[in-house]
Amino acid sequence: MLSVTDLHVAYGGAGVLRGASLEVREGETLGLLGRNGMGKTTLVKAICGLRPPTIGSGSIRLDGVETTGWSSLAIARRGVGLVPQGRRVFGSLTVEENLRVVARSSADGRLPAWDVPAVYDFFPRLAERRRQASRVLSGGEQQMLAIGRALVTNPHLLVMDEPTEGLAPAVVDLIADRLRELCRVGIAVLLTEQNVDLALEVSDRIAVLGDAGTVAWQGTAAQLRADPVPLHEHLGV
Amino acid sequence: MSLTTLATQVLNGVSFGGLLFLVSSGFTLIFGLLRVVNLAHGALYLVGAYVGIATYTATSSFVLGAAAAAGSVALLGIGLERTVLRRVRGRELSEVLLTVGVSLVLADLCLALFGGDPKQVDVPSALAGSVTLGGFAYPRYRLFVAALAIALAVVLYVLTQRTKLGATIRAGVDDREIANALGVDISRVFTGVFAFGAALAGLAGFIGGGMLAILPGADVDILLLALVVVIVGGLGSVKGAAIGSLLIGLIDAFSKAWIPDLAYFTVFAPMALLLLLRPSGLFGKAA
Repeated sequence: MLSVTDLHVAYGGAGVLRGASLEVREGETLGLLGRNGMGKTTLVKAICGLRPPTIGSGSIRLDGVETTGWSSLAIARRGVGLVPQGRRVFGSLTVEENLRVVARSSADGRLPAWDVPAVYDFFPRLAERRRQASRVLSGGEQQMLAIGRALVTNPHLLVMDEPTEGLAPAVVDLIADRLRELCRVGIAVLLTEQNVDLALEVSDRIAVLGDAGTVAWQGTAAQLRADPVPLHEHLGV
Repeated sequence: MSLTTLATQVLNGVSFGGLLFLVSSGFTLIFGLLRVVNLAHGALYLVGAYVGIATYTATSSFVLGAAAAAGSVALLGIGLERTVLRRVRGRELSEVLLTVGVSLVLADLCLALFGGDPKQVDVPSALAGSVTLGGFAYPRYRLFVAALAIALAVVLYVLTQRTKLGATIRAGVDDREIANALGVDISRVFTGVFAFGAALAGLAGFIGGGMLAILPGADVDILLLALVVVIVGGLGSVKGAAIGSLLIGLIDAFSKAWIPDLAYFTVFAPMALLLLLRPSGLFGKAA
């Protein structure tokens, strides 16, 4: 699905990623952990073709196709759905318009198809708010919209950058519940999280970014739950 | 002032405001999405006027003249956006200076091709003459221009607020990076909006030719007024352009009737005052 190999990314002169490698397999959720400033968002941006990271060397492949250096538009059309950090919904558009402007069908028939009504079934709250300008929604509702907006592009890989950041605990539970549901339907997910418990709970496998700008530990979530030493070592928790 | 004179001045203001809206709506649309202050907009108006007049003269069809004015300037806009402006995207000073340069080139080309004598559009008989309204006569063509502007305002409202294309344009205004990253080709939307805004300028030139003289310098005059309109209304806001056009049209009409010596002062003084009190204009978003 997604494989990142020996990726070097410099950010404003300083190397943030110095040889990071990871893989998201078909239908699995990979939780990406790491302290602030370890390059989680930089890695997400590099995968999605967003600037400013400049990719020094290494390779990013989607379904076996080299996409390193592609534009974000081309990568999106290749089947990557982004839920950006900070949500970034289109504030002057209504909930429904946010979904309609990006909705498109997928050539891939293997996954269940997402359309606007399906997103409303998935997040009934959004259906109630469909005519409201998205800028007046609560943070949790905006996050649901950001996820729904990525889903209606019918991605093969869903990339979520800190989807529970700044949300109230009750809302985090609701988002977590929806993430588990997404994992069940078999879409591949790359999830960056500060909330370690949540990441361990919903992910199949975990990758931990360490100080050296590389993936310091990689394994199953079950392994990490049984033996949390790498968490102490690299996250300080 | 008699009631008839008052009504005449109001209609003068509304119809001139209508012409200003044709020009400034395109200007403000382009700014709203591309963040480009297109100072070649006046030159596009002039090109549209000359091309429209030439086509109208050759074919005797007013509609064809209007179509040629809008169509040719739309193509010119596409060329301008794809070949020139795209190279300096995001570099504000370069963008503005480039549009100034383009406007000078276009104005000189117009002078070389169409000469320096004032030209006018001889309005077709269906729009010529005057209409009697409650005891006084008023030029039919000016009413047509006002009606056209109102129709355009309705079309623009429906287009931007009620269609998927309009929502896509607004999404691009809100966050073009994320729109791109979700698979919306914003650069195509950019070109489309630029072409549409340019077409409106070209159409305005031809329509304006039935009210005002078309000659070298008319581009600068109309650009200046369009700038005042969008500064008053708020850069990027179509609603602001509509209200601003009406306001400036009325101010222009009444000041020309009452204090013709101060015609420019009465247009620019309210703008300066507004800039002091509300720097982002009536409907503009604060930067």
